[in-house]
Amino acid sequence: MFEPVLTRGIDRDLTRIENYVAQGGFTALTKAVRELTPQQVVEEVTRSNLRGRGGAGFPAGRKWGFLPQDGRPRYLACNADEGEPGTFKDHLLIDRNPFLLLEGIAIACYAIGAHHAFIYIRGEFLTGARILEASIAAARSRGYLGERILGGDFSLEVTVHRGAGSYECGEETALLESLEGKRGNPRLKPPFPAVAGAYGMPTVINNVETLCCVPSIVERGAAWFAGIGPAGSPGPKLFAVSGLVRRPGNYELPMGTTLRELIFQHAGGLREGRRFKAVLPGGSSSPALVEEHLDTPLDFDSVARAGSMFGSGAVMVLDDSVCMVRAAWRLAEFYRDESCGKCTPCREGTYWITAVLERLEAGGGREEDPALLEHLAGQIGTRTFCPLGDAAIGFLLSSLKYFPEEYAAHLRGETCRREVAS
Amino acid sequence: MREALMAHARDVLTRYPDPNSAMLPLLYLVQEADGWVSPAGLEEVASFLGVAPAVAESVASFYTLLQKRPVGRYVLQVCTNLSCSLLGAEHLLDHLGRKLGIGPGETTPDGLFTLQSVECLAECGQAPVLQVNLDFHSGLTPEKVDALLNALRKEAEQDV
Amino acid sequence: MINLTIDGRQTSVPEGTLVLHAARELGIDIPTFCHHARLLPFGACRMCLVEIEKAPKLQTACTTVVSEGMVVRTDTEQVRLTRQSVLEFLLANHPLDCPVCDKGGECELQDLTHRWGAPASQFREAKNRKGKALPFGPFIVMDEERCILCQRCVRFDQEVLGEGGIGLMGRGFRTRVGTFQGRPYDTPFSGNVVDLCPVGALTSRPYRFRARPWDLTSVASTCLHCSVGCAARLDARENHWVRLRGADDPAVNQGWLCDRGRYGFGFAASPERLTAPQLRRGGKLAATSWEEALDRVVQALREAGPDRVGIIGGGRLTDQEAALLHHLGRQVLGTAHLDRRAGRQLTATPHLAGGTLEDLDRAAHIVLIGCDPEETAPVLALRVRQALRRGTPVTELGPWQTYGPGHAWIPPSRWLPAVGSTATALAGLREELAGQDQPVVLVWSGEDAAVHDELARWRQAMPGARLLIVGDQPNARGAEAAGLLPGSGGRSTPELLAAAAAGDLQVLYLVGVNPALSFPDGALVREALEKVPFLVVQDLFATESARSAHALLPVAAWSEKTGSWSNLEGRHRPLAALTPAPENLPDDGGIFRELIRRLGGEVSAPLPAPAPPAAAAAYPLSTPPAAEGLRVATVELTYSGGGTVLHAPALSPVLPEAWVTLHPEEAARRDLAPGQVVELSCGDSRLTLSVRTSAQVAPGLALVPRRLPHSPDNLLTEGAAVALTPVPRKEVLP
Repeated sequence: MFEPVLTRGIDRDLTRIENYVAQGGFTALTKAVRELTPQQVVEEVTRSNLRGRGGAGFPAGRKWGFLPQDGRPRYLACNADEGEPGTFKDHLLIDRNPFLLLEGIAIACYAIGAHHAFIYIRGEFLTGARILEASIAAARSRGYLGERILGGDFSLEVTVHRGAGSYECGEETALLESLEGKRGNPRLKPPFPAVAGAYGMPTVINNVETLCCVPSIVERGAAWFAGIGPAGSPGPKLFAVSGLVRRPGNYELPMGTTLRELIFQHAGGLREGRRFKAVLPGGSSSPALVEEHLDTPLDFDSVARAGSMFGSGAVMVLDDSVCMVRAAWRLAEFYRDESCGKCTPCREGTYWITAVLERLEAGGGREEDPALLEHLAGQIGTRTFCPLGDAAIGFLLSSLKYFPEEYAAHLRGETCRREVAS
Repeated sequence: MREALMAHARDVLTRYPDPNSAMLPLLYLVQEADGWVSPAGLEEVASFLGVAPAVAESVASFYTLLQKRPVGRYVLQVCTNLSCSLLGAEHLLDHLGRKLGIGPGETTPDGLFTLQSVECLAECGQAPVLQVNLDFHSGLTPEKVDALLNALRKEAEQDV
Repeated sequence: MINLTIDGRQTSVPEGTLVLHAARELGIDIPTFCHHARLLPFGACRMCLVEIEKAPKLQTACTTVVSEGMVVRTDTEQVRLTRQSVLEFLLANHPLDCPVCDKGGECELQDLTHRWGAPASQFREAKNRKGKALPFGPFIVMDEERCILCQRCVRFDQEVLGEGGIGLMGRGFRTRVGTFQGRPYDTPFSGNVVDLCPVGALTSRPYRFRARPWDLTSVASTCLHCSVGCAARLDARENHWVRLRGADDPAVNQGWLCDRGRYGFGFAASPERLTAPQLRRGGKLAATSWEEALDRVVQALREAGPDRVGIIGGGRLTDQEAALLHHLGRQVLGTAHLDRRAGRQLTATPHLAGGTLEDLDRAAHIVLIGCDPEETAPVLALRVRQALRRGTPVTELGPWQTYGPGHAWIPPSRWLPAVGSTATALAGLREELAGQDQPVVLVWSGEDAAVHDELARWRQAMPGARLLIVGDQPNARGAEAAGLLPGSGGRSTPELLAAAAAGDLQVLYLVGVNPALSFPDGALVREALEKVPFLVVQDLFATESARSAHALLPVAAWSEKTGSWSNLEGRHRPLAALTPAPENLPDDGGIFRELIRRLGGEVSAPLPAPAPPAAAAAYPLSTPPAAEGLRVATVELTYSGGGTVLHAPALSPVLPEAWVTLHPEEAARRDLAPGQVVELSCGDSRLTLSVRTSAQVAPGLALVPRRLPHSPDNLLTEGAAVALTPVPRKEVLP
């Protein structure tokens, strides 16, 4: 039987440090700094095969191991810029389990030898930022952060840095630019952040949920963690289910839970009289999957095999009342507005795609529009400076692939409902 | 930098290895004081950090939470991204616009409300949602929105 | 070396080479927009995407560094389609107003569309509208809709200037390049963004709607406004000079220009230009024939005899003309009274190891001595800025600080006796830096004899040190090499002026100099010019010094003659004639040849080389003892002067007003606020100036710009005490 790790005890007000400590909080940090060398922590996390929960799924332990050992200061940046539409898991962890995150940050910093961590939190999470500030103060006063943590040699400062409204800042190099007080434009790679990240120094960037997995790995061991879910991408996972299900919300389940189980069992299935149409398995950037994919296990590799991406594990469910063209238009507008504007295909292509979809939706479609959209998407995909271009075309291409008749209906002038769902 | 913000601004600098990182916190500071980031506020931040004012404007112009025009006392930011739109956010935005007599991006003549359509606020589990000055209100219906507007109006009256 | 294959051809290039450059070496052209050789790799436009084996997606050739065994393909269908699509994206929202765009014909977007673009656009939507013909500073106009957001201009501003005066505003498809609140782009290097712009977004006001590129004739030449000698391309339409652009000489200007150089060319077509020789008759100058004018000058020179003739000038001539002038003076007239100097500078030729501009890039320490390169050698200053960014220590010695705060500044000078002289400070620095890394690069104004003598000691103490002297005339160094300095027993400029004032000189011949404005002792020079019985002035304009001339000889401008000159490094700089001179005016050399011929000399044989000056010839400027209280100091500005600067219409918006800069404490002590108008009095002289304050001016000083025609600083005595009296604002009537 799976027991929750990330949301354990979350109904007992874990924003109070005594409640967190009472359920065993900070024992992992204590173990790490008192019993383990940094190298041992890195090795443990590597063996656990924890893969980044921000979307890319890169093994966290390997990321930590990339930092050059050259005596320069190094930093940890926690990516709390949860902006991927449909994703609201980090929001929950920040607001309701902040000490778990801080403990994860402290262990990660101990492992990589960082003495200053930054939590880059999206500007809209004002409440979350305040909770984190208060939690940092509380952890400091109990010796879990600050100078000489738990009486040892390890010291750590944590700074909460608020973003100010930009999806692109979730991209790791754009996040670093924004942290440094600049526009959130992505940086050229190489150099990679591990070599020259924040302030030109070696930097690890980890997602909130990734860091929240770390204490349990240190406490209960890599083998335990690796035994949860599929071997290729193990561990507990917060699935954020939204859209047209009976019980939207966050569900902590093992990696590899199938879409069907998540949607129909945990999230209560579709609403009265509705039929399943499609699902975005990994946030708005992931191509939609359809009925035939419902038995796909939700893990990095399986979802990729099904032709989509696991992403942040945000599952958006669409039923038969949804107009796919209007949904595509709505998302296209989002990517157009969030494109940073740096590279040509993303800046101009998202503008163009949005204009075509808007026209189609308004009844002004042209016969060549579906082909044109496919062409434009093809010339954005893999050609942009950062992954935002690929994110912008995932849903569009899947809607063209699986629901061509909806585009055809728009072209025939069969008026759309003018709302995404009815 | 004006005296009233100076202590806070200096404190912000201590949190970063490089003073330029204070750019966003200082722009927020100015916005909190003035309600928006005015050209004068941009110059103030730029001169405090020792950079050209165009640098501050360039940074501020990138971020949607930094208001480049004066806004109302209550900034209503309605998420209209997919998860919320699936559950009626578009209708909700129209409803708010009708109630307030303004369109997205506009401010009511009494300066009380600014209505904005924004992207995903990461609260999709309780869609549709909006933020009032960055406070979340979720699971909204037209009725709940009406009640919210009344409560805000009442709060504003009591403050006068 | 790294071995790789591009389009099936093997090549081997040094480690660190970009794929783009490796391909170009093979003659394989990969199109680019955002890439620029003088800016850091950027990778934003995506025009240069190529296939690289084993890479999961296309890679930008402009940012990808070669690696061993790499296999690159630039000639595939996928690459071709990608280029076509990038162009399609760029053109989607482009206004396509090429017929009325100044860039048409030399536009990179046009050219690459012609080569790689699709035959027709699939874009049928409403275009994204942005600002049109927006003012972007005194010289530039911005068309935001034409901008392709390559950011070359913004990157130049950040990487080369380090100013931050322009930036991206907004984001996504609304992104535009802008200044703070649309205010003027305020930098002395603004025009470079026009050169950098690959499209017609940033255009120069003076060139707007003046020509089509295919109607232009061009020459490769150099800018002769200062002693840096920036490589430039000059364009004319129907013999009318319409544009000057930077050219990339890696050792000199790397493509950059200052606005003074770029936009100052209008002087050549000024209606104020002298086009006919003039002789004084009945107290008035009147036009005459060349025959008569030259006869009169020859007659005057003959009658005077070698010892009562003096020649001042030469630093605006070509090296060839300078040699002719030397020949005319020393051999034909037989006089030793030649001096190219007309201001405060006593030498432009280093007397220790001469530096190069590139030495600034490898300097271990840069010392600026009484010299603000930002004003007097702007493009040299760009290298100082780069050095500062690299962390190279820069020490400034002088009454004001250019690069501060945060860099070493030793304000002592002869104006501040309490701290000691500049030479004393320099001696201290010599001892401090002697054992340290080399090269120390010294950049000096060439002023102050005590500094000259102190520098002589650096030769021994620090053989690695390198000296650059910023010439006060562009070819000051070439003129000195040509021997335009007083010979043995010859009189220097101060001595010539003193002799003239004392009635000991018969003929004074001014060649392209305006000592009435530039010579520091204004009273002496005015008296000398008034009293000398025969004053010959050879120049483009009737300058302040020409007012009492007896013969006025107009000449061709530097854009109208061919030759070479020597910049502050002593490097040869070519000049090429762009347009013919108006009225077939001779160039300076032509006048010298004619005078030599009429005086019975020869110029056919190679001219004898002048003896190189062993040491800087004496230059006895009087230096009054430093006074108590507020004292005058002067500073040369880019836009100082009464000649070409004043007659270039494009420059009029940026010509400096007359100001006096005080340390804020001095201003506060006198209850003066910035912008306030004061009368500055010094002895019997008075100037009306507006107050500025700067913490980068030494306390105790009243800093005044040099050589402003409407406010001549040489009415004041440098180092003398001054008083400031507020001028009451006139009441504004309702």
